[in-house]
Amino acid sequence: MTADLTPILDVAALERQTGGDVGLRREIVQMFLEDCPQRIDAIGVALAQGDLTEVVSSSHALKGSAAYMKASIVRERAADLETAAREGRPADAAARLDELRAAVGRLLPELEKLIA
Amino acid sequence: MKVLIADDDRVAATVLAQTLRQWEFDVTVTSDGVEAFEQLRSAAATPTLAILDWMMPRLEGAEVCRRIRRELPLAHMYLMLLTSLEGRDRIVAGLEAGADDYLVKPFDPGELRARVNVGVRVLTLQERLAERVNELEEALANVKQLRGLLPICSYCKRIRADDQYWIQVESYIAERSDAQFSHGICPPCASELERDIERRRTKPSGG
Repeated sequence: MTADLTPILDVAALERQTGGDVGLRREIVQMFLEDCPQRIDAIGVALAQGDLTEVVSSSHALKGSAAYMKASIVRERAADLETAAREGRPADAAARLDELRAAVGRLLPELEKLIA
Repeated sequence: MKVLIADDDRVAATVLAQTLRQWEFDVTVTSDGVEAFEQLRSAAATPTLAILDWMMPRLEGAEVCRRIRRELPLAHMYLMLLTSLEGRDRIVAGLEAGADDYLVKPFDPGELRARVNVGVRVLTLQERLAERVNELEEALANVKQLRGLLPICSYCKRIRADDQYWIQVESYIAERSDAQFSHGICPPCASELERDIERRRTKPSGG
């Protein structure tokens, strides 16, 4: 229930995180827009190959970046995926990846709007 | 003050580096634990604050701390570990590995500032203490010390010096310490001298 009330992106918190530095905010948003799809793809490939170590590594990295973006839903979905992979549950990890993809699908347009 | 950031997440590293640069720190960024260790080792003579991510390629942050403490136990390094919210249970292990402090990602700017200030205070204090120790060591090297067994004449109180010559006690001490002597006559000797002069005066001359 709480997840429904949580914004996909907390712009005010992102502004606080970057100390009101618009240039820095733009720079990290652009980095995230470049890195995030690559990481999602890498996780998909790793999962298909049964490489759960790589799934842990990529979802951990995505979780970290999303935390700085103040995108808490994506952060939580990435954390769930990381946990499933770390605990050796590939079927659960696949389900978590679908949820992560859905959340990322909502986040990226918001970030693009922010730097448009 | 030099700050080394080691984080393979370029978003995290960029936010951290830019925030610290705004506070006028001299920031270097690396994305790999082995490189972080090498950079810290080559900068061992300079007080450095390092912010190390726990999960990094090739070498984890905690292992970087362990190696630095083992190989450079006297280096002026303040090591902070970065950990995710879920990694807080590893904080004790990180501190035991040699970290001085930790930060949970994503950092809060106010908390980062406060914790970095603690690091700067510790490094500044270490540097001042090291300077003071150097000064004291230099001073100690210049101090002349008097110690050991001294052969002294029981009658005239001359001391046999290293070159086997018997010299006045005050010359001996003056040469081997920063002491200086003023010359006078003590009351018992003054009385003795007076009696001696009196004896000489009253003694019939010429024999």
